[in-house]
Amino acid sequence: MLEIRDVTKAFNKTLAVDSLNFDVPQGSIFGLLGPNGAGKTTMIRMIMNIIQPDSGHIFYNGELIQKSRYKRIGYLPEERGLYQKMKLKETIVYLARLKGLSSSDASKRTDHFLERFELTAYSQRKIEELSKGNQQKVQFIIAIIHNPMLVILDEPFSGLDPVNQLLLKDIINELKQGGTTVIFSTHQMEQVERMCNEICLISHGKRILYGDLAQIKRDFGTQTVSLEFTGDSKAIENVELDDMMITEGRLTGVLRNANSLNDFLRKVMEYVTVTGFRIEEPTLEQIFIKQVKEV
Amino acid sequence: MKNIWIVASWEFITRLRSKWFIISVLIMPIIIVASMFVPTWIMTGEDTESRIVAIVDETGYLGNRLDVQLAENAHLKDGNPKYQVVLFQNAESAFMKKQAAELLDSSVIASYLVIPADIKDSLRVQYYAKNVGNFKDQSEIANAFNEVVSSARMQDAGLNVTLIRSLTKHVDFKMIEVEKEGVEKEGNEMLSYLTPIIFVLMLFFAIFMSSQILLRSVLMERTNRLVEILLSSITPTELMSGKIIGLGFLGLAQLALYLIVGYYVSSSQGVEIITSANTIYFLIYFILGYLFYAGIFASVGAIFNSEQDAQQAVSILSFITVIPIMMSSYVIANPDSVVSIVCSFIPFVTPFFMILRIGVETPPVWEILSTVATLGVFTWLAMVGAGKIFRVALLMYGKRPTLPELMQWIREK
Repeated sequence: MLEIRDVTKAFNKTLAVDSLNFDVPQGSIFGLLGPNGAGKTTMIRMIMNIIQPDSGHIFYNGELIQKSRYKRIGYLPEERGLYQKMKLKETIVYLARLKGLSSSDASKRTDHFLERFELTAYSQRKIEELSKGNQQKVQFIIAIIHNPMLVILDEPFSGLDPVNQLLLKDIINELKQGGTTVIFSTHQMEQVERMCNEICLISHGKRILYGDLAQIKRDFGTQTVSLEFTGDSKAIENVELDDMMITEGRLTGVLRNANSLNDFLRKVMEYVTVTGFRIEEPTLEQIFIKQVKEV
Repeated sequence: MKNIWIVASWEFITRLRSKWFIISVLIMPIIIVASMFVPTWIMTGEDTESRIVAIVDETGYLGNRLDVQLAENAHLKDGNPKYQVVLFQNAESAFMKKQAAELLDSSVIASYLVIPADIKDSLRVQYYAKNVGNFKDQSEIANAFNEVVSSARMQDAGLNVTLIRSLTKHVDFKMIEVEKEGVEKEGNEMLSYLTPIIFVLMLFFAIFMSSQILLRSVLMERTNRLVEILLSSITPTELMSGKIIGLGFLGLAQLALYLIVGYYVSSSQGVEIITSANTIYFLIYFILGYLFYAGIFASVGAIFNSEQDAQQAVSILSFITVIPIMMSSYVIANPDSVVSIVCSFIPFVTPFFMILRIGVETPPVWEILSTVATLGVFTWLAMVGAGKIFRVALLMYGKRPTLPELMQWIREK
């Protein structure tokens, strides 16, 4: 388990990360979310031990993150870069060896992953000859080749076509099943909703949402209702809903309070005949936008 | 430690394999060898083709004598006369000059000489050629003509020309270079002059090719953000050390190649300029000089965001390092002067000045030891400073740090 305890980091008096606390359970897929400039990359770099926090501590399985942890962590940075002039396989082998693999082990595992990602034909080609999507797959291989206990993936899906996104998702799920913890940083909220069990949303370096994703949605307190009815639509114009829209025979809006659902229904049924009713959980995107705007 | 060697061998092998490195490394010895021997070949080599020259002779007889003098003294490789002379005599001066000028213009003749009627008093002739840079032809013809005129003047004065010529024969000066008491060898001015220059060029190229590659390598990894992946595996210090060591070995390989080529080329010419003592000095000054510059170049690579900006910053250094090459003639003539000694203690140029001076004659031991010690201290400072700058600056993008910020990083523990 990864534990972040009161971690603070400032650059030139600007707080990038401000007394942040969260835990990433072993074997989970954890979403580290936030708008641009929220402090995600800084937090990730501190977890990677690339930079040191000004104060606070980061523990991995109860021990302070130290250099030795390097070998057990994999990292896919958001900014993609590789040695353009070098051949594909030798580059992966080199970076795998820096993760502590022996050269024969590195070579074997490279072959395995190249095959898995359908890149075997390119193994002796220069990286600059690869498409952008293929280069991204190479970086993903580099992040996981040493069988890490913790993988940090920063926008892993950007720039990939749907087929490769699916392949990546499969592999991430395999990693999870193998007990690897995955930290997932992205702006693509649908991906997070589909893959993550837990999230931490930060803005201006501060934690604004944290915990089990389903619980967060329940706690968010607003629900989108959609109602079909027959009768006079003018009669229900005054019910309490945010973002209310009434078109012919159809009403949608966001309930201000989940507990007020019964009141809402009773009120509506006084005036019109309800023919259909659906209640939707808030999307993570809605939560994200609302929370970030509020801060 | 293992990581340092993985990085070092990666840097070494991938660069050694690169076409551009091989080409530039091979071009250097060719330039050195060419600069060493081509001028000598040109100056001393025998000609294989004869030249037609014209003589516009207003005296009516000196031209014939010059023709004979040239035929006796200037030969081609096969023994035939080098110059074929077209003689203009006994006509109006302007007409003869015009004819000669036309021949030159149509490249029938290579040059022409106008001997005025009052040559014995005026001692002035005019030599016309399309290529006045051909010093060899020019001096041959000038020498021959000097003989002719001085002989004529001696005759006019009633002197015995043969006697005077035998009395005024040149004394043969043979140069003996004394290495130390009792050890003598025949001197070769050209070689004594070229050796130090070749030495300093070899060192210069070995140090700066590797340092430049280091700069570009750091910049590349930084600008395409590969450094994030690297730093997720190894520490900045390991990365910097690995790069510096790997590229240092690259420079050493380059230097070794130059020394070997230099050794064989010079021994094939019967001289020994690469001795084991010189090789040791080369190694010492290369290692210290390279590490000193590597520290600076690695820091520049870590600070700047684009190749242009970085190159601009190091171009100031290039100016400083060209100074020893510009001053080489002076240092070769005055290896023990105060200026040469003082310059040997300026860390930026210590290796180059010392190698220049070693190429002339080995300086006293105390100077070698004290320059090595001074440079060693500065190299150590450069490495420590670079380590600190590297660690902080590597992941900073956007704004370039100011000098006070840099100094603060260096002072931080």
